Amino acid sequence: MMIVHVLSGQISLNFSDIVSAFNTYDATNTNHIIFFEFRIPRMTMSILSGSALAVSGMLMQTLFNNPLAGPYVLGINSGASLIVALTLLTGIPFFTSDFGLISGALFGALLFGSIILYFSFYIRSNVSLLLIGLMISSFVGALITTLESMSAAEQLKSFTFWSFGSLQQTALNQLPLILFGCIVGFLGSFLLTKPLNAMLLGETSAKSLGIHIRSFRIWVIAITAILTGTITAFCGPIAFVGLAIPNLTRMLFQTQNHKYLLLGNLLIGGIFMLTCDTIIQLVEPYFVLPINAFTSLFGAPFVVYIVLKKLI
Amino acid sequence: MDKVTRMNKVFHLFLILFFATACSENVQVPLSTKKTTNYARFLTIRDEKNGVYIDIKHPDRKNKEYKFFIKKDSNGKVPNDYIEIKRNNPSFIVFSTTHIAMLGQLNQLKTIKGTCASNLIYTKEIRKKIEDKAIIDFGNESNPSLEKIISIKPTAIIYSGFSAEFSKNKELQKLGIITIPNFDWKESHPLGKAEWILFFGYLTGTEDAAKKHLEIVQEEYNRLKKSVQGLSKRAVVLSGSKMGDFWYAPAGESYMAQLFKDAGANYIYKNTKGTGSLAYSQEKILVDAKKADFWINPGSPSYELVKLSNPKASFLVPFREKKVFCYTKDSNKYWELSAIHPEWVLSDLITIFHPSTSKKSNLYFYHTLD
Amino acid sequence: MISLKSIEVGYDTPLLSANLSLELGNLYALVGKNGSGKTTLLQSIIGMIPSIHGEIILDEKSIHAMTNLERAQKIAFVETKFMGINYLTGFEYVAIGRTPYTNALGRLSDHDKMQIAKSLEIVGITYLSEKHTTQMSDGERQLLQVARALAQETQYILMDEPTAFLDYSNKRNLIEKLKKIAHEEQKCILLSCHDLEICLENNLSLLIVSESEKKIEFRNNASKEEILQLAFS
Repeated sequence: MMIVHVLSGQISLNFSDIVSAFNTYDATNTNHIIFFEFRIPRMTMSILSGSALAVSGMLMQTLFNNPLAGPYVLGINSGASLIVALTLLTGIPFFTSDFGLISGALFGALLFGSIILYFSFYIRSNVSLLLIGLMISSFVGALITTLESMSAAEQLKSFTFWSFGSLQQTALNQLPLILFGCIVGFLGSFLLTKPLNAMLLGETSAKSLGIHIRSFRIWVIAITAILTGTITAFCGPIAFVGLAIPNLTRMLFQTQNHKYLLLGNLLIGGIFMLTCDTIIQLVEPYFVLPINAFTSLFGAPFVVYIVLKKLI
Repeated sequence: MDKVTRMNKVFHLFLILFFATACSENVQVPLSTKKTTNYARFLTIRDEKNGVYIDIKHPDRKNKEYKFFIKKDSNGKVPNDYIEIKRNNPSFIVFSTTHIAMLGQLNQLKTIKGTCASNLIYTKEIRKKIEDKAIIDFGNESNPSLEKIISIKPTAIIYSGFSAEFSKNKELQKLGIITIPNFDWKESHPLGKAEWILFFGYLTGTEDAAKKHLEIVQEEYNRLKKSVQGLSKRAVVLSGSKMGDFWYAPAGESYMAQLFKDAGANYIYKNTKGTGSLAYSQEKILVDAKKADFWINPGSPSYELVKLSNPKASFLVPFREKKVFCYTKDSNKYWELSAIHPEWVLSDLITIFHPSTSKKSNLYFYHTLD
Repeated sequence: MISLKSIEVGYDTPLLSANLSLELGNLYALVGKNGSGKTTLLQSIIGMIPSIHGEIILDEKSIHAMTNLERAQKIAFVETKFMGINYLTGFEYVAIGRTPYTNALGRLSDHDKMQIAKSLEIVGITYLSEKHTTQMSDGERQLLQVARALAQETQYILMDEPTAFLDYSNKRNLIEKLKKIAHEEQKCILLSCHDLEICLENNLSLLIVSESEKKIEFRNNASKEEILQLAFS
């Protein structure tokens, strides 16, 4: 799949290009540049974004005991968007740097994760909590619209394109930072598999099994914020992956054991985004298909399917 | 033939018969004799004995035409299908800054009573009038306030027609306010775009000044174009910018492509079809622009901002060699004045592409990025 | 031994008070009206809710002085109903009961696996190991909960109305099994219950929430009339 992805695109590369790019990199050879600076980051970002968002979704779904939870639905994405909007639209140079953008998105994700967490301490009903998440999302959406209408065209443009979502914006030298954020998040999730499994039985039972609920919640929100924040900073808000993939993984792997679910989400999330992006690459010469539109095109019918199959 | 069209034909025949007998004057639409437009594709103006026929074609909807008529004899009749525009003491609401430039060129700024968003306007006089509340700022044309329009009661509303029809068309018709689309922005020939000044000329009775302006513009444009035709060295040009995941470049039959051609440049997508935009992946741009000398219209005023919206722009040769030009230092000036001064745009491009042959060094709209 | 030392439980105002001890090897049934505070008492004992007054002593240590983990190794708690979870098998469900003993990653050791198998065997539901919990009957799921509590290897098991959603034969089956487990495994099991007949039939030790005094009365051989008089009049 990775090889197919790397080899497909509007410009055709062949194996010898790749081999020679590895052996003797030539900064003036267009094919070498395409391979290293375009295809490799794009492929890596496809996999990482799919995996990270799927794992975030899994964490949220278990924490809230609701298969319709996800970073997007609960307003964590919107939080990251809001802070990025604030930074990009105000145009302060520090914030528009890579570091500023990523810390802004992280901060936004953490902030709004904490807000939903705060509500979750007082509201037992998951439906009410989802409703609050949706309210936060639309509230933040309105704030962003207001910000947009007040900002200059140039800043507005860079924010608008950021909000479309993109797997192609990342440069080769930014990959280590993103990879680091994702690995921290994945390892953190791996360490949480035991309490996650206990949480399947609900909070009371989990607590009677010795789980410290409060610190568990804080860790889950923090890890989700790291994963969602890192990906959102570089790829923009990508919808539906976090909601649909964990459900798909449960159906495919037929398990609730989070050790397998985590691996499954890493795998299927990565493969899903890689497939989506390969399809986009293949149709590039014929029509324009933004990644965010494509994931939603797949995601929306899938949610309907979940509801129809009464998996809730 | 179905029933409805047959009924229509009968009705038409009846109408023609009715007019032929009832009117003393022959008002049948004459077949093009005194056409005044040459380059414009969506505007035809015929200056006939009985009046001026203004036909505006919709760029995207094949059979859609807007027909307007200006009487020369106050006792004359308005031909079928035409809407009469009266031009005694005209007043307008205009929704594009090119309209302001055209009326300004004809010394008719006084006819403007309402405009599009003031932050897009270059002409100082109009901005001052908006500040003084002598002119109403209607924002964008998608949803203007009907109350404010009524308070002005203009002769006509001139709009760009991005969407199908003007939003309050039906209500305005009842009030006797005419709405006229202006498709100058869809014209693919720079001189065709400029010809829309004739439309404003006839609307305000200053058609002679409009023709005079066009004459000067055409002469200068053609002179500049000729001056570079013989040159053997043609600069390779890349244009457009990345939005989202795609690079949008002007197609081979577009306005920009025409300008590149007339400026003696070799535009990398000159052989593509269409008058709109091409959407290509960034990789394709990288390969196709391998030999590009210049990059025109990146959409941002500085290298830093270009890199922010498109980090991979740095792999493009013109970016590395700092040969990127744009009009974004004063975008309002460009959008307002470039339509009536295509010769200025051409002059800029020639100065950029052929620095050695051009005597002029100052640019009207363009600048290198900061 | 669980000692409830003149405790008062409730959220803001005391719902009921108790002063008694529960011994290993016994099955106790907590009987009382709806809303009399039975569930609150159970949740106070497992430390979910702080008690308003008095102390709960578990083998000479106050319940509030224990960490979550220490408590989890002493008391297991079984909720009224387990709805079943998609794709979760009986074995996996019972395995969650080993949470207080496994390492940080939740890896099951041979000892853990043995305990799980043993728990399933004691309850007599080894055949449910590979079955998905959503495909089980209510009775099967209730037994599975008991097995999960056994796998937790605690001396004390608290159950909140485990018979509420079962039919008559399943109720009898469950109570009989619990009584046997309490005796044979030397556990102290406390359950709240509305099924007086079954409690009496099995000669359970009864903790009756007295309606008049809002206090728990201990009865070993009470008649039905006496209980009705005490709890429901």
